[in-house]
Amino acid sequence: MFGIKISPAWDISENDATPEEIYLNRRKFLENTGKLGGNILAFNTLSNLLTPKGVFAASSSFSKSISQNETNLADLRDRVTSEILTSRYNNFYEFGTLKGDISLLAKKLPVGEWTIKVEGLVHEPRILDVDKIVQTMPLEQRVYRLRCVETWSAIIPWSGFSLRELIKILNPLSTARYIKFKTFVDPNIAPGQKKRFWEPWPYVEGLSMSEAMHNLAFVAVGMYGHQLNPQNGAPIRLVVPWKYGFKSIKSIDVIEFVKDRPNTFWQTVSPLEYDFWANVEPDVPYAKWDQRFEVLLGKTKKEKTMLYNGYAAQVAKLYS
Amino acid sequence: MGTEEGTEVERPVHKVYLGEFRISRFEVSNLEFEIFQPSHTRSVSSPCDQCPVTMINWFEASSYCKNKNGRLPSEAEWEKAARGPAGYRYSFGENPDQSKSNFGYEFQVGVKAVNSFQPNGFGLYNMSGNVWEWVDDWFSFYAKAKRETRSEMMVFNEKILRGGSWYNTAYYVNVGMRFKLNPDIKLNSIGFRCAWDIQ
Repeated sequence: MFGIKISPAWDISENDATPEEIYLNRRKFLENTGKLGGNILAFNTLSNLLTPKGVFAASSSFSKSISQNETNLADLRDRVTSEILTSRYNNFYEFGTLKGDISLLAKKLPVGEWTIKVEGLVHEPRILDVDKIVQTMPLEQRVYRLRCVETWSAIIPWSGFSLRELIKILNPLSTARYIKFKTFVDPNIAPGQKKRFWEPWPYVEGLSMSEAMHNLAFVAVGMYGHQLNPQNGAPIRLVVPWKYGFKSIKSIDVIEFVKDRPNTFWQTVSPLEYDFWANVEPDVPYAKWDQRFEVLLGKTKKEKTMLYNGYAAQVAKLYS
Repeated sequence: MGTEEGTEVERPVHKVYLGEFRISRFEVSNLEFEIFQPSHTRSVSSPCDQCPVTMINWFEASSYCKNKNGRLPSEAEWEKAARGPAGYRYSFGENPDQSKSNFGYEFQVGVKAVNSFQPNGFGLYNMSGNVWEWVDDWFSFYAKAKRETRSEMMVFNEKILRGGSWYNTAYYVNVGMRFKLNPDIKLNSIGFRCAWDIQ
């Protein structure tokens, strides 16, 4: 496993998940970090290392590295999720409800100099600078399945850090039982928040503290070896692979530690269809959809959905 | 009228000349509306007699006001009234302040009675926050509307809503902000108040 800090059973091989053209870019990106050591990636700053300049600058050892991987990549081309799809088929209601429009509409999102307000049951409320978070966190890459409640799925290589490492830094009080996340509110840049003014903006999601402290709960700042695209939740988002995708809140603006279970966006909008937990459970119809099957983006054949999206061995004990 | 803080929908800030008018101090309450329409069903977010009536579409709101020998306020009248004599950004003042109006809470909190909080400088209650309010106008961009002549504005099929509700952030309760919706739609966060011409 290349560039993965942790390589347990839940991890998908990056060769299984990444199409060739994307893998090439990621290799360039990684080699230009100059910080690769063993299985651990250490990064300096988000702005220095996840910029397009960093991603696309070539290095002398690059060609040889690629050729050594060509066989594996060729075998797996028809199984992977292309970034072309994951960057152009997006749910981000802040910008609108048409998946194909989001990548254009989200370009207005000002992702530079992003801060996160940390509040609630913490020893010290504070404002976090995302660039500084990235400097201090042990960045790693993880390849996760993403299962949308709408029954489509994707396999995506994320860059970021485990949520529990961030929580340790944020130092919540022992009375905190849940962690609540909010997305930005700015109807001037997010036309969905203007047009659908009656929705309970901001988008809110949450996890129990035991879920949040699970090693699989991840905070992503990049994907496919570069900084997150706005439509994918730049500059910082949650990735909770055993839950339906809407739990993985994008463009985090506020983190709040709370005693009581938060009212989440979709629970508020449609309480009979959505619950707080939203774990991927194929035998339980959820919202409008039969959840037994899914279609991987770019494919047409249905596949069986796995309990907890394939992460049952790791997370089932959270719910036993 | 309008605000530079918004989008092209709110711009440009421009002058509108209004005749004299009267406008209700309060949002229409459940009790008031149900005398007019006894079959009305209250929203769980607005359950009390003195809570603002919600779950009414634009046509029902307009009919109620006509029954009171009035009408829905025009958009310009509503904004003039909401800004108060000082022309504030919010009906309660220049800066967002949750102690002065019902906004910025979670959806589950619900409305406050129509006489809650202090009135603005014109004596009007809850024009920022509590519930959205239908106004008379069809949506149109300001740039295309030379004056407040309603017939010219009937170029789109959505009616204007103003003022925001209890679960909206400060952006939405800024009285210069404009929102629009199909007039047939009923929501648990939309109410109204009436206006009258000066005889």
